[in-house]
Amino acid sequence: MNWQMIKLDLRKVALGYFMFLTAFLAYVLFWPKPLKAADPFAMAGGIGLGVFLALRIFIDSRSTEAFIFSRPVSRGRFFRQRWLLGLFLQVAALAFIALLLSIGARCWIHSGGPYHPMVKWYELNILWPIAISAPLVYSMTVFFMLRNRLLRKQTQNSARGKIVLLAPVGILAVCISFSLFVSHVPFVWIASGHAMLFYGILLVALTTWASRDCFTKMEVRS
Amino acid sequence: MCNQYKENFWLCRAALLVVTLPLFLGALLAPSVGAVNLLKQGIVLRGPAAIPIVYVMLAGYIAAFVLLMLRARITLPLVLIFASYFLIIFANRDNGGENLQIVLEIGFGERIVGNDVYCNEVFLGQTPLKISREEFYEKVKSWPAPPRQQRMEIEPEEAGDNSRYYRAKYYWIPFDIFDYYEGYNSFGGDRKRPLWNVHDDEKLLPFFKTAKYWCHFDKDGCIGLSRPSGFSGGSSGHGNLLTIDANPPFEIASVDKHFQVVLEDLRRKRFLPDQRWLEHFSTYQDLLFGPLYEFAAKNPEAGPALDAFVRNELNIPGTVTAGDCRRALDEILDRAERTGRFVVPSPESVGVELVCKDHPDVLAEYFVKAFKIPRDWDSSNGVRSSDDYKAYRRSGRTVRQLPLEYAVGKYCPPQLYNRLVYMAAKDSKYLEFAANYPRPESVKLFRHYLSKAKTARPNVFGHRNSVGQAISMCVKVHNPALENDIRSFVSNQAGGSRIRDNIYAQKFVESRIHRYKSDPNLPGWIQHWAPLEDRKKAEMIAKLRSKNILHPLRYLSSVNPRCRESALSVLNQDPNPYADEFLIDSYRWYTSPAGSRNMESDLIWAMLKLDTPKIRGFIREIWDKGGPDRIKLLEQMRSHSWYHPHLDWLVPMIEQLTDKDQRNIGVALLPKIGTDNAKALLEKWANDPNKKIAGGVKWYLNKFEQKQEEAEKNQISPETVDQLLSGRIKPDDLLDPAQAYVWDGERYVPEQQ
Repeated sequence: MNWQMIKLDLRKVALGYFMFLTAFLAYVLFWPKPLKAADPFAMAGGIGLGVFLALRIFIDSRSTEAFIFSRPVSRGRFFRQRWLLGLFLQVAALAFIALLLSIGARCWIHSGGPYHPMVKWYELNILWPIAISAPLVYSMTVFFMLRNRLLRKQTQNSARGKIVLLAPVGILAVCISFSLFVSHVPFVWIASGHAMLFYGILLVALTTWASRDCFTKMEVRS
Repeated sequence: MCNQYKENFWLCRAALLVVTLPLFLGALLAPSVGAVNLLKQGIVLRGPAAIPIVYVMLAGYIAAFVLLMLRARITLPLVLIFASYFLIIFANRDNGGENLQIVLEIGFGERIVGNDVYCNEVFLGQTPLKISREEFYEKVKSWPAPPRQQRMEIEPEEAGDNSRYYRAKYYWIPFDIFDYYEGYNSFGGDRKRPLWNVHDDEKLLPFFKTAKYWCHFDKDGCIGLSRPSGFSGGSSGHGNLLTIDANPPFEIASVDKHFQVVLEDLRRKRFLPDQRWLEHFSTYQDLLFGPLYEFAAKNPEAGPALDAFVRNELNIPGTVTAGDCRRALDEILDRAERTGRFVVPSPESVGVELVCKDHPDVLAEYFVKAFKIPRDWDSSNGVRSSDDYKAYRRSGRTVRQLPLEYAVGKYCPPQLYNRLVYMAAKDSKYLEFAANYPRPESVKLFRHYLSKAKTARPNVFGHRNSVGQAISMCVKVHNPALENDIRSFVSNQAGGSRIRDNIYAQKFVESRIHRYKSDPNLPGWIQHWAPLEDRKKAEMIAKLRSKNILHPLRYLSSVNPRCRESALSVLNQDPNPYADEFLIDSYRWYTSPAGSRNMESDLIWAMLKLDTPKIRGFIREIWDKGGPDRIKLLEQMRSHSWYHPHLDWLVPMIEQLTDKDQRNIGVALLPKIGTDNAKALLEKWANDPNKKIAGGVKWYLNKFEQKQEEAEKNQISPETVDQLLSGRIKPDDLLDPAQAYVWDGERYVPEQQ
């Protein structure tokens, strides 16, 4: 592990990551109705977090990119380090939300309401949309971004490519619709949970593998 | 080196394919709008343009896939998929009903399944039955004239009665159901008058003349008789498909006698059924369970028999362990899934009560499991009810939730409370379960719900649907701690000119009458606060079993005399011992100058049905007055048809009558009392010097003899019981020989032998 490079990446994401955590905190603590799994705001937050982490971690400024890629670290290891950092930050966000809910902060704030404390543990279901959408969008965004750079023979990552952003978000919307559809279609209801898990793992695995391939082959200005 | 800046060919394509897999699968497999589904439904739902359009859609999807694989680009394939998908708009074009497909569903809303359906002597299947118009006309050939009715129940002809055939029950009833929809198009069309809109013989008999299809229903080999109209149901559809939902209005002819025989055997065994009885009852449980349940509700000594049958049927031992509870619940849920419904009362509902009462943990476990079953894409709920039963329906496997909802509503397992609150937060329809728990949190929760309903904004039409929904929810909530809040909400929020809210308010009041029949505060609440018309209030109050009903009834009757009529109508059908003073009041009112009009027949009937010390005292009081008061009372009693052996106490008073006119009336009353004392008095007066009285006595004694002969004939012999239970005779063999009827060109007349 190259701690200097990790610290560099952390510094890039710190402010935005903190803002996301604040937004999650505000939503989780102050939303008046009980939190549930089919929560569009949580899903949007997860998607936003995934896209943000992908763009911030894997995009370097001109001045730093040449320096970073000249370090004696193989591209494969470098990619693994960055990718795992992004994943770790997502898991940390989930753990933060879980902690907030488990200590009863929300119950204390909404103690005058009709639903608490009965729904305290059930509100942990809010973790599901974030846990599903964030890694999926993160790995897809990394894939499309790096592939775009490789195909266009760019020597620099561009954060402006709208297709890079819209494609994974749009396709993720379809993925979520697919998950709803699959869970309700009678003849596959038995296998829907397993099918979704298998599909999610396959998607993350393939896009990550392809991303790593693009990362190792992309051109970097020296 | 030249590959350094090129992506891995197969890896990238595999990744892109997996990413876009949901799009392809959705476009192909999505219910109703997916290409595969459209190909299956094709011309039926969408019209003749559908299939070619689907092929164009498929070509677009294939092109998108090829582009994705060859060029590994995502933009153009995405555009192609979505563009192909939007062609579905054109596949949905309605071609004006030229290709209308009609499907008939029979018995989907019925309480009992498995009824045999015959049409023109052709067996169509068992309910719930689905048959298309084409299949129906292929199987069934029309009849040129109305068929012979093997059995028909019709009242004797009376002058001025123009609904005799309308009220009769037939073996075959007209069933030109597709005929009604022949002129259907998307704007309503030109349909013929339906049979269920016919209410008198003048319109009904011409219908019989022109009907070409006639249907008949059986159940477990027992004949069903039906009234000619009253097929409940409706129709629905989309595209070119119309679905007719018909629930047949038939009754099994032998069920009453069958039940009496079975009950007789039970009585002889002191309501401890043996194995033979249980097996016979199990075979005909769909027909007999309802009557037995009703009988046991009024006669607690029959409770053990009901209990024994349910335990035998569902294999529930005397002491229920957790394992027995699971096994029985599995069986009950499987039955619900097979029939697609859950009926209360039924063997399954009683079984659920027996096993879940002492095992809330197992109930909670099954409830959680059942609510993980995903709903179908086109799931539906329904409930059909009458005074005797409620049949709940749900499509797909989620029907397994119904028995568990019933048990949870009854037993409120503490393990489920938090989960139910969470479910109610997501979907308010589960609030009824959480609100019924006797906990302060439930009170807070439901009050919050009511306050939201009160403050909800109206829609664009100025209606607040939340109020109607909240009142519907109040009907289902029976938490004593919430009762005041609920009643206050209903009285403040409902009413006004909105008919829908008044229907909900009426259902609410009925639910309270059913649940809190003896609540002393309820009559006053209904009088002052219920958002109902005065006549409806009087009807509702008359059903309550509380001594506080007198004042509200008096008040309402003083404000509006029609309220008195409404209350008396209810008291006639359902004698209420707490209403005896009101009956006495009403009698005095009708005989006073203020109420000098024809006395309501309901009043006399209600007084004669009710045997309370006050009523007896009042009748004695008028009797002892003598003179015109007594004569008026006697004439009122004579002019109505009744049979009440409990009025045997009148016999000594009748015997004391010396005036010949009054004695003549007394003679007419004795057969209506029908006891041995009444018969003995008639025999005593057989030689009365007054010829009119003697003649009347002779005539009435003959009627007595006839009645006794009929009673002896109807008496159930042990041989009959034995033959029926051993299967040597069938339930229909208990019926009297049938009088067949034939069509004479204008109407049905008895067939001459």
